[in-house]
Amino acid sequence: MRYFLPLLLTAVLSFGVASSVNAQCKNFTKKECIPTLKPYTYNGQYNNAVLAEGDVAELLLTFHKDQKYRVSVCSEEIIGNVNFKIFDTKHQLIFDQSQNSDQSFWDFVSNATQQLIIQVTVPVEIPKNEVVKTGCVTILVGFLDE
Amino acid sequence: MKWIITFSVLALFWSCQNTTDSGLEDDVEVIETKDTVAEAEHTKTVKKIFYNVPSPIEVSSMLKRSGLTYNADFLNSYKKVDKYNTAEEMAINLGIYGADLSYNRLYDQIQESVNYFSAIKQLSDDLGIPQDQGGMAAERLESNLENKDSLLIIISQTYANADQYLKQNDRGSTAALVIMGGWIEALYIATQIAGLPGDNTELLNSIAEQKWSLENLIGLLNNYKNDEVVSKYLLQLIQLQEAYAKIEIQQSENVVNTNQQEGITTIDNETKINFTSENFIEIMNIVGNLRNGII
Repeated sequence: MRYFLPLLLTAVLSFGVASSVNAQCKNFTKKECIPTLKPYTYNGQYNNAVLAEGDVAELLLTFHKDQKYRVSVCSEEIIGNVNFKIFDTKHQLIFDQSQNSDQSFWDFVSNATQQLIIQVTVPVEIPKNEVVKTGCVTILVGFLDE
Repeated sequence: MKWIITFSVLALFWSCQNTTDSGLEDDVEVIETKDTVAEAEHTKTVKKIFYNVPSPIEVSSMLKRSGLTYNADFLNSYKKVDKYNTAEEMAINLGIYGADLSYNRLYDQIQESVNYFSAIKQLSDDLGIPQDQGGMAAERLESNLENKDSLLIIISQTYANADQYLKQNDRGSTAALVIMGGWIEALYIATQIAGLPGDNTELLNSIAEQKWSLENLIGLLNNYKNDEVVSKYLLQLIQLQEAYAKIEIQQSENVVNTNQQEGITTIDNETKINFTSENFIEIMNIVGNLRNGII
């Protein structure tokens, strides 16, 4: 019995951490990310994860020809501005956000239907902290209905 | 004391595992990818791979561009909504009705849109997706019936919120089935229309190009391949992929051009598609069987 309470507390706390991170990421996506797609229409698929400094995540998606798209990447302030790059499936670099602007989205149209890879990298803080920071990163895709 | 520490570590580990937020722990895939950009010839560990499939709204747009007239016969009747009782049937047909609603919206079929929207609401409720999450208050739709753009936003929000809710509640496989249903229905309608007499070259090319979306869809479903329901559909989609493998699509190198004034970039690329009528009939039959097996 003497061990039961700490055990229960640990389990409850752990569950609480997971739930609050879920809620935090959801609210962040809703408030900070979805509005960045305007006037594009959100494609309805939700891609987010809690990433740590130095992590890399990718989204593979087919983009239809002659359709205008906006790719938007946002991250919680604690992990800084994540960089995103877009590659084709031959790994040819199509877009590098760090070389273009500080804006967190990219608008484009492709005249052929093709798959593209959206790669996001969480920057590593220099000087490196002992505690690795983590935060929510969201990748959204919108299209213009014309 | 020792076992408390062990449990605490395990509990914390479990907690961290659940912080992927999307509820898609299974889709955390560690792969080695080769970054061939000249200045960065090194391998990186990609922590998470997401797979997205174009929404039925986008796929329906290609039908509109084909210039063909509206035909409700190709759709899955909203009257069948009460027939779907299992979570599997409800999820797949939620996606199917989304594609059908998008098709109706494109052709300004207002009353049909309302009917499909009601069916979607019913399936969404039956799947336990809270209404505030679904963003689909009937009054919102009714007050925006005449506004095509508002309807588009409502459709988009409905599916976005359903996707979000299901993933966050460890029901990622259900979310994947919704997406699969929408994709199959849109492709089914496209193949039915393309099979009609007339010059359907553009539509046929669009159907051939779904080869890429199918890869994405299989990638998405593979995250849940241990789920019995998902694995059943994966087998059928792999059969479709084998038929798609016979289509030759050649693409030239991408050339990127940016219009600074308009702030938009064009990716120029030439594509050659070799899509024979035999290929088309095979795909049409597989898609037809697959779709008719799920409605």
